[in-house]
Amino acid sequence: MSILYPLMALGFLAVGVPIWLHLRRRDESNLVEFSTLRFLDDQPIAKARPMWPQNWPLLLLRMLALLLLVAAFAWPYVENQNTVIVDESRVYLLDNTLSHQVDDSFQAARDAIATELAANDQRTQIAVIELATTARTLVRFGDDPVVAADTVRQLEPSAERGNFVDAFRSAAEMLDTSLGTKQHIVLFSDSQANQWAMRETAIPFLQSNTEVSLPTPLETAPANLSLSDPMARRTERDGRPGLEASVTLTRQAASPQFTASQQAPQKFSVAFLDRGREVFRQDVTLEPKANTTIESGTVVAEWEADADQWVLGEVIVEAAVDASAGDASDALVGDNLVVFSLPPQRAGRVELITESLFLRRALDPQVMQSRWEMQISDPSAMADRQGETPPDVLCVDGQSLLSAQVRNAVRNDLSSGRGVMLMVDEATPLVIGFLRELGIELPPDQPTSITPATFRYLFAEHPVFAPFQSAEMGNLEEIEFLNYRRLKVRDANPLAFSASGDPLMFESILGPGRMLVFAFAFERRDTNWPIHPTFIPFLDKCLEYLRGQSISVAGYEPGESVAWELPPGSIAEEITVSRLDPTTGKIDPRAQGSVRIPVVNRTANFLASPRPGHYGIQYSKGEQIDAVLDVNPSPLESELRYDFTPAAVASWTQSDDGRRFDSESPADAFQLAESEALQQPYGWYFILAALAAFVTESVYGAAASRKANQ
Amino acid sequence: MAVRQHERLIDRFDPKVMSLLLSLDLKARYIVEGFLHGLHKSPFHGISVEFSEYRDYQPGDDLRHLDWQLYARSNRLCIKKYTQETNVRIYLVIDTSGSMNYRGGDAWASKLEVAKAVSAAMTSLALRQNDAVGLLTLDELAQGSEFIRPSQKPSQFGIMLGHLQQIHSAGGPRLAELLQHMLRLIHRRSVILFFSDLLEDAEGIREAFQQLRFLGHECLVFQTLDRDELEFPFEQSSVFKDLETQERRTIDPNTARDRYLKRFESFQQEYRDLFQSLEVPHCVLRTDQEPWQALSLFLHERQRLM
Repeated sequence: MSILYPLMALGFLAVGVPIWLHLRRRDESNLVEFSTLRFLDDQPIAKARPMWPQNWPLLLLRMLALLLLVAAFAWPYVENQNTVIVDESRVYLLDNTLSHQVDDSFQAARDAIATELAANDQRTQIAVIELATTARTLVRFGDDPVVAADTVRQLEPSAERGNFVDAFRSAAEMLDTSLGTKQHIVLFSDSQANQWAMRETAIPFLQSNTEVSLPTPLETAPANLSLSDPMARRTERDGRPGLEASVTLTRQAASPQFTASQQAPQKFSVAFLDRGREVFRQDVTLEPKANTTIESGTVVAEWEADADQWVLGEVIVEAAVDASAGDASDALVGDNLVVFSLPPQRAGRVELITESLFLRRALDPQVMQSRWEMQISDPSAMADRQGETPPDVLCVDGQSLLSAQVRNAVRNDLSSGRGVMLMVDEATPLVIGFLRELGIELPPDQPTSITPATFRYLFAEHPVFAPFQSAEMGNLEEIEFLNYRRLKVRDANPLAFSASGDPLMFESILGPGRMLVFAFAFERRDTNWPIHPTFIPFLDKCLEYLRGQSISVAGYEPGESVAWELPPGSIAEEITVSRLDPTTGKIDPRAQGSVRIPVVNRTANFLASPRPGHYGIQYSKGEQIDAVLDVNPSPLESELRYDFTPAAVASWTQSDDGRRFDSESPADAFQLAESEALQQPYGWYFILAALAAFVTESVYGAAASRKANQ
Repeated sequence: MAVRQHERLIDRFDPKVMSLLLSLDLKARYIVEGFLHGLHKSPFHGISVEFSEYRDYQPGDDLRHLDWQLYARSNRLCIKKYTQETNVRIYLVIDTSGSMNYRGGDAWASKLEVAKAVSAAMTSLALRQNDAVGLLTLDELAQGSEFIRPSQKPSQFGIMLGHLQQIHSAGGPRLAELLQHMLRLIHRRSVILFFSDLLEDAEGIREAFQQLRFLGHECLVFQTLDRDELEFPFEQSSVFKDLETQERRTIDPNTARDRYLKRFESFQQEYRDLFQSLEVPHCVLRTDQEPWQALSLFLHERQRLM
């Protein structure tokens, strides 16, 4: 070992420092610093300062402190009978998504990992990461093996959808601080193809020396039957309330073999249940298509339903047992049930202060039947509302805003948490001033002619537009706008834009009440919407939204992040989420407790349950359910197609240039020392002892100095 | 009478008070005020401009100088003309060799601090007389000189104080070097107040002082010394370390004192002879005594030069 070796040089420095410090800090007594010795040059020259320690206790204390520091950092390298050399650091990634429940694969993997943990000989570090919606660390390196095995055994299968890249990244981070010379990631998963397809372009994060073990390839992908996309809406037929629901049935044949039996038409039975009671059943035959192994179809059901209570619906699919029909096997049972819900129907009240004949006709009792009650008011003779029950939604146009009573009504309704629907068809100074008060700028110099426009950009996820993502509700792209006002918003969210980029519809965010602002009037001079089939459904959705009523099924996937916004008029500091019994509509007593979530800025953020089903949301204590959250598995989990040679792993792995360890370089010795020192508690005791020695030395030195000065 | 006045001056000077005053400004005020309070007659002459003659007013003349009374009496517009009193340019030159750092047990400050305080006091006095005051010293590392051009502005006092406070002494003997700087920088006839302990060979600086005198400068030497240097009152045998050369010698003061005092007196006599031959006033400024003798010498010489 050369003296130029960095550690050797540091060692020499460490030995020399305390001696130098000691001699440097030695007190010099009986010394007189005089201005000049030119008149004393006949006196004997003083001996040089004795370079020999005079205060042995101080020197010993200083050397002891340094020795302790050296011992602290050397301790991880000292082998004794308790020293364990870790050969391998291994991270198990346990896929706990729905697709991994095929043939009880999850349970088998879980038990295998638990057995491995219990039998571990400590020469292998083992950690376990659960691959679900978010990657969760179940077992860390160094956890007690018995406790770790129990933790893994108690893991329940979930219906969540997970992400491989997050789990691999978590594993790589754990391996970065691991002790083993060999690093290993073992994936216990079905290796679903669509899971690998996610984020393939992630920045490489896996060390090149990390070994990745992927699952054993299956010879065939199993056949699967699944339900998805449940939808429901209330209807009225012959004066009686009813319900119309639909669901998508998908069948995936086994792959890659196409047997004659698989290509034969299959019969399935789809049952709709409302509060546990079967209300509809239909046998469905799926005709196989050429060159595809996936067939799907939509099943629509209709039945009478009480409009005054929540609909808690379930759809179940069963394979018809018919041996002659061919292969009707179903590998995944968890996706054979989907749930949906609808709130009780209560006729809303709309106060209409507009001359629009189309709106009056659309809200006519013959059209809206029991959904909406219309009250037409004259803006010039609008009476004070005191003593009356205010309407749920106020529908006004710009012309009516010329009346001070109407403007006051808009202000009052917004501040009271009620809804306002405003069509801007006038640009008078009074209207401009009032709109400015609402955060909307209406420039007076409006263009005289506008090229006919259509919707270009829509906030498709907004509750009023979300139902129109389904083609059954009509095509919004067919609507044309011949004339509209060019508005600028300050305190509002644009919901729709024209092709030329002009905002056509906003939602105000000013008050507790909701307000939808349209840059046009529902008149033929402005748009053809009033004569389009989407007009009445859209108007109905807008009014429902403004009223604060749940519009559509609140569907979430297991484990998905939910931002639950309190509806207007509701006040709560926290909400309670509980699993509902679909037969009674009450909180399921068998479910494991309820979850309370604080409400911040009228929004409660939480993760949806990993188990599909109905979940009731309560804004206050008691038994009343204020809203229902439906949790259904992701349709992607039903696609049982696998990729056992994923390109993603290679793209996540760093090149050799990025490797960190080289056992020959001194820098790696420090890195190893850092990681191993964290595992050696004695080292920290030595450091503490060294600090104590330094403190003692300082106190003793100060006392000795004081004594010498006296 | 002179003895009684001197006693009263001593009574008013308290070395403890001086050692407690941290600010150079306060030290200077303490010295000056105490000194002026003890004088029966102000040494100052009227520092003002003297009327010289009248001349006729011409357009563009400053109306402030118009004699209105004369105009009222004679209906003539005349401008008063004055003669500016000739003032003295004074340079404070301070030695910053390491030996100036010495402070004995009875001293109210180190030799350098005493020199700075007295310099500040003299600056204050000089500026009151409308004299221009400047400063010259070597910097701490002897890599150059600190030079402040003389000025009679009232703000000069603050500038001088600021620079005086930043002066530190270190290193070996540099008296000859300082004098060379003086010769190079000071050209016009000036009064040079020289503060040093003069702990260097007199022969080494003789030539420089001769040149200063030859150039017409008036020099006043304030030799700043400590009681320890003058009396060598040490008792205990100790190791003595030279502040300038870092040389160490083991000295028994009881045996070495007589010889020290004899050699020191001989050394002092050399300087006295030198300054006498050059007609340079020389004053020993002790760090354990009041500095008013130095101030008296300064004012006396100032009066003589007027």
